[in-house]
Amino acid sequence: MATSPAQSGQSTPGTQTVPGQTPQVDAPPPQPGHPAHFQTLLDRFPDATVPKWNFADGIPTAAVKPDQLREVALWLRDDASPRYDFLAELCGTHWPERDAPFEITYIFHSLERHERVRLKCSTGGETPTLPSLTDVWPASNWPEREVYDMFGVSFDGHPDLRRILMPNDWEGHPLRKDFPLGEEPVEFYRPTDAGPAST
Amino acid sequence: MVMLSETRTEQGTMILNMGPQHPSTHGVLRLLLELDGETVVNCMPDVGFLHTGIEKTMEARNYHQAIVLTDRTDYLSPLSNNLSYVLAVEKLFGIEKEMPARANVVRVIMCELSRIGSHLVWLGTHALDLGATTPFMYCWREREQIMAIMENSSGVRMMTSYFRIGGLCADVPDGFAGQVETFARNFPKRVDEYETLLSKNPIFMDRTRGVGKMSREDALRYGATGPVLRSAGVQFDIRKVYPYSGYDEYEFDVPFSNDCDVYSRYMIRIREMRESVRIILQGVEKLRDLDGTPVKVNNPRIIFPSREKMHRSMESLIHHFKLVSEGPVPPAGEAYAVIESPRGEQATYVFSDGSNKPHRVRFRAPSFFNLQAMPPMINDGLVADVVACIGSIDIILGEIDR
Repeated sequence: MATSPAQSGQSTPGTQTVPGQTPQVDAPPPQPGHPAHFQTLLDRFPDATVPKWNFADGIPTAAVKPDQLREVALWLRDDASPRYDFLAELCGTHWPERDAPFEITYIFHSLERHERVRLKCSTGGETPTLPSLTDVWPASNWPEREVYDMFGVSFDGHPDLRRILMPNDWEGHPLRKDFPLGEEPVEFYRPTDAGPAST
Repeated sequence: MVMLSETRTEQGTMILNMGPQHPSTHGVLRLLLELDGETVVNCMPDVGFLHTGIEKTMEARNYHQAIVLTDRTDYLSPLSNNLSYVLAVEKLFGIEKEMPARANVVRVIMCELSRIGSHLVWLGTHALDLGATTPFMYCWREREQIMAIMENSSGVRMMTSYFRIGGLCADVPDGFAGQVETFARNFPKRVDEYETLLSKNPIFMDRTRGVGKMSREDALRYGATGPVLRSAGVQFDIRKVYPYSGYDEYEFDVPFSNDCDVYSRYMIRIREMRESVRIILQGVEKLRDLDGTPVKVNNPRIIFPSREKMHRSMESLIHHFKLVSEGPVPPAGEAYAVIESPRGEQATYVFSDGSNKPHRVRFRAPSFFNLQAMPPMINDGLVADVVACIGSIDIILGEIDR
């Protein structure tokens, strides 16, 4: 799916990096120029930046500010050339050492020319919040619920922001890095507000 | 998780709870159906009953150990998950171009076999849901042969974990090509048998034609992929769009339809099985030409030294010990590898922080998005058609809940 020149592949393994620390990438691979469909996005939104990070899959990537996310998403859907008509992926990552530790990744696909762009949007603070894309891209409904469930990131304007995979009364957000793994005893779960109809 | 306290709403509609222990929900899916008489007004899927925290567990395993967990997501087509995961890690290492041809050919053959196997389970259970019991037995008979091939090559019937970062766990055994070819040559006749039972069967057609309509726009809006999207007239197949593992060297067609209904999804999967046979036969040809060539990349950072070497050289033994205990260490970065699984666009997204364990692994499960697209398919339909719709999207709760 490479749309930009392939990665050189000669980078050394990062054995020198201590696990859990903020990874340091020595240098981003040389970018002789962005693919045309991505360059139009950068031209249209000068605030969008290209993160210095190893995107080994070659999908062109832009980081946008949360307050600009909806605008970019709408532009991708309605005005970009080619138009992006498909939200292929939405997922979260937790990087505890960063200032905005919750990074949400969106991948958009254009069925016309089969090109992809990836957007990154980071948030943090006491109550990490991002604007919801559900009215622009209905496909983002469940993935946003999953991010909310797993990372505790809220989405403003989501019509039905509930947990999706974990039980309703679960405490904590399992995919956060500070959520412990493997030490808890098995929890037997019984619904507390189960009505008579669920028999 | 929605709790039921009222069975009757203010509008006079009734709430019906379907599942999670319902035989035609194919796992543990719970549907809340709001009914007006026999008509479904609203459908609210409720998932999460099978959540096992695979993504979290993978963060505590090294890259090599994590392979076995990928099998457990989509348990009907475990090799597809293996493949997307190893492809993602291979992209991080930058070795996807160095993959030996033989490894790619075996990967393609195995993936197509598991596509057939997965479609067979779908066909059997889908027909069973709609009242046809015989196809179920027939499908299991052929699936058994696929299981035998899997066991012959990997040692395991279902959770094969056969693909490794940088190749295969071992070369295929002698006689593999013949075994696969025999199956592939016989299989189209079996598909004909299924079709005589179902394709023109008036009961099956009544239950499926014009049922579970989903427009092209809805399918795209909700992110549906695979046969569900192709039944809505979009000829979108990752094998053609972003060829991986050498799929661009094979001749095959992508079946699609404009009918948007359950029957067209049935027809698409039937034709996909025939296309898979075509791919497998081409793969067997290639495999015969590549006899004796390596099935792993030549990269000591990833691949274990051979047994013989370890017996003779201390350094190889240390090397092996390091690789087993620490695992391969890709550079920091992220890679999104996408493949066409039997259910649609299946992707694994691996984030590496430069340590020997993945920082985060994310599965883009096609069923997750396809199930999300189900309510518009079911709404305004009849209760009895709900099982037909669930069957037609071919959900695997293992990959939805992960």
